[in-house]
Amino acid sequence: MESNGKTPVIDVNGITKVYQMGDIEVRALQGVSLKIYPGDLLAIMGPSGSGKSTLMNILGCLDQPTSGSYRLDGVDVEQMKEDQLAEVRNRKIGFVFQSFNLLRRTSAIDNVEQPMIYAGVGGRERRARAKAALEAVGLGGRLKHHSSELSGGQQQRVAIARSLVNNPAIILADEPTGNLDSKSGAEIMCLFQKLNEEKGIIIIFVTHDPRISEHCKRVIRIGDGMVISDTANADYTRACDDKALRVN
Amino acid sequence: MAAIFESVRLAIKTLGANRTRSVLTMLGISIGVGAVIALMAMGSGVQKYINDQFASAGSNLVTVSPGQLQRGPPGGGARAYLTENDYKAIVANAPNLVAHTAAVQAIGSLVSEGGTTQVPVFGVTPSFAVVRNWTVQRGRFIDDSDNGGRLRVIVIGTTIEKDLFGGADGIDQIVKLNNIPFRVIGVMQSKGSTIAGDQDAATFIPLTTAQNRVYQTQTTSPSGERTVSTILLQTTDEKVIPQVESVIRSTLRERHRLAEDAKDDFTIVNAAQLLSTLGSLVSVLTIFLGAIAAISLLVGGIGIMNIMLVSVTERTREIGLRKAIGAKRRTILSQFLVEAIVLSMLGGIIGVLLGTGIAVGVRYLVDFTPIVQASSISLAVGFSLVVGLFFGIYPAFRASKLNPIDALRHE
Repeated sequence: MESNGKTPVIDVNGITKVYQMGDIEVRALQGVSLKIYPGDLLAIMGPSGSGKSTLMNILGCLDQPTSGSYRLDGVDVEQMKEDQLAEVRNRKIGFVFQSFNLLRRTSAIDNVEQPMIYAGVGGRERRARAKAALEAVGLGGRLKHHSSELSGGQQQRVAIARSLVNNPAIILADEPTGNLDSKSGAEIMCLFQKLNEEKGIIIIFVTHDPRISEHCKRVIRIGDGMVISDTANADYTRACDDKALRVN
Repeated sequence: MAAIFESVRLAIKTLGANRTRSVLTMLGISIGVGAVIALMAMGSGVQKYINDQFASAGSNLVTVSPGQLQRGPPGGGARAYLTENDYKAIVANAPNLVAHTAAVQAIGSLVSEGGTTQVPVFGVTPSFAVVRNWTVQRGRFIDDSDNGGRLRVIVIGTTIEKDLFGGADGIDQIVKLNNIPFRVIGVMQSKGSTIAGDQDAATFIPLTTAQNRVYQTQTTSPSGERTVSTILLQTTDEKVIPQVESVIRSTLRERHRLAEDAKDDFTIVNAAQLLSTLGSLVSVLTIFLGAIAAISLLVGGIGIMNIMLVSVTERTREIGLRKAIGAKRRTILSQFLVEAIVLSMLGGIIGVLLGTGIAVGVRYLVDFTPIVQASSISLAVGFSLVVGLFFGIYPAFRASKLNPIDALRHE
């Protein structure tokens, strides 16, 4: 990818990851280098066992590389301690999971407030920001609903609101449409595109679903722990039309 | 402060989500704390009861009785009686006396139209009522002219009056004590029961009447002297009791011609001594019972640990998510620790209410009034805090150590 003179938000250089599983040494990543720039909307694709989950964990600061360097938003994270990583995750990264991972028996707004509690945001500001985030994903009318009272698509919107609320540099979405029907899936993709276009948030999908990658601007393919291809998506399309995109 | 409030609020919310389980877990602590509080309250109630009993008898009271109460063969030879002259000698020698009396104590058979009853009979002088701090409810007590005239008059306790006359007034009625007719001149103020038995079942006749008309043989020594069965001395205060006792001992040993190495042939008991002996007995018992109750508190604590461990396993994904969105180790640790503490503290507070309720309820079943002390409440609540902390730390630590990647993948 061309840098276009911009500073990369994610700058990964030659990272490897080696697991010791009993006597066997598993080389999950064997020297991956990546640069991801502001405004990127990309899919990391690959079959299972390709190392894409490991890469996602490292990009998400849930795990650390065995070797190589990782610079996230100007901060070197490869040497950080557990609690420092927690802080980086809290402030710079939003997570969206396949199974939503909302807190049970907890209202939508309380779920969205969680990351701000860990960031030490005061109660009143927390409420306001959580409300704004839920409104941004089109759930302004369901603040008090518990996850059990929401559809799958709605639950994933709550999760997206939660990932947004600390104004992260990147959102990592792991198969975000995997548990949704195609209509809800398209709505969620549409929402991600809107966030990317309107707020400039970098969104990284980890998926093997081509329906996701066709809505991304860039596609990185991983195989055997290495980057196989890194291409701009010439066929980039919206998941929904412009009109729908503007509707909350 | 706000953070603590926040985590307590979160803990209550989480515990409320699993209400049945939380309540059952708290129950273990509640029962433990309740038992500790109720038992401690009863312990101090009994303590106070005993103190009051002795206060009514007077804690500065010294009692001298013939013989030895100790086990084994009676010491100091065959002599096991106190004479009136012993009494006079003691009174003459002993300092710091406020009041004193000598009495004969025996068992008598009391008969009236209403029935027959076996009663303790005291042959007394007027000072007996002073020393024992007893008063009459109706009529009058034995006076000097009764003693002077060896009159057949009797003062009875309320229990006896009820036994002999039903609900009717016993004053001026004639009763037979060991077949000798006596006129009832007074009824004692009710004193209730003590550890020594029903105090309202006693009867009182003039000392001289007892010695000369009713119990001649029991009150005559081999040498023909008049004897008494008990000498009561009231001292100015508790501090002089040792001094008074040593005077009594030397006086009696000299009068009884006891050899240097012979044991006393009399027994000196003071109320303060008895009180402290009984008091320490009660506190040992209270501590013992409290310790047993504390074991159930411990078991309750293990219940908390068990539930918290289950909770950590059940909520592995939640922990993984919380870590992913920025919870640090200590955040997770404190979340689970606060839950355990809230659980044990709520259990403790319910236990305090339970224990206090039991203590209040017991009042209607027993003679004494259990006293719930602030110290036992704070002890119990403090202890349940410690239990929550101690048994919560391990599950919380386990939760905090979970790897977010594995935790998120957990099913």
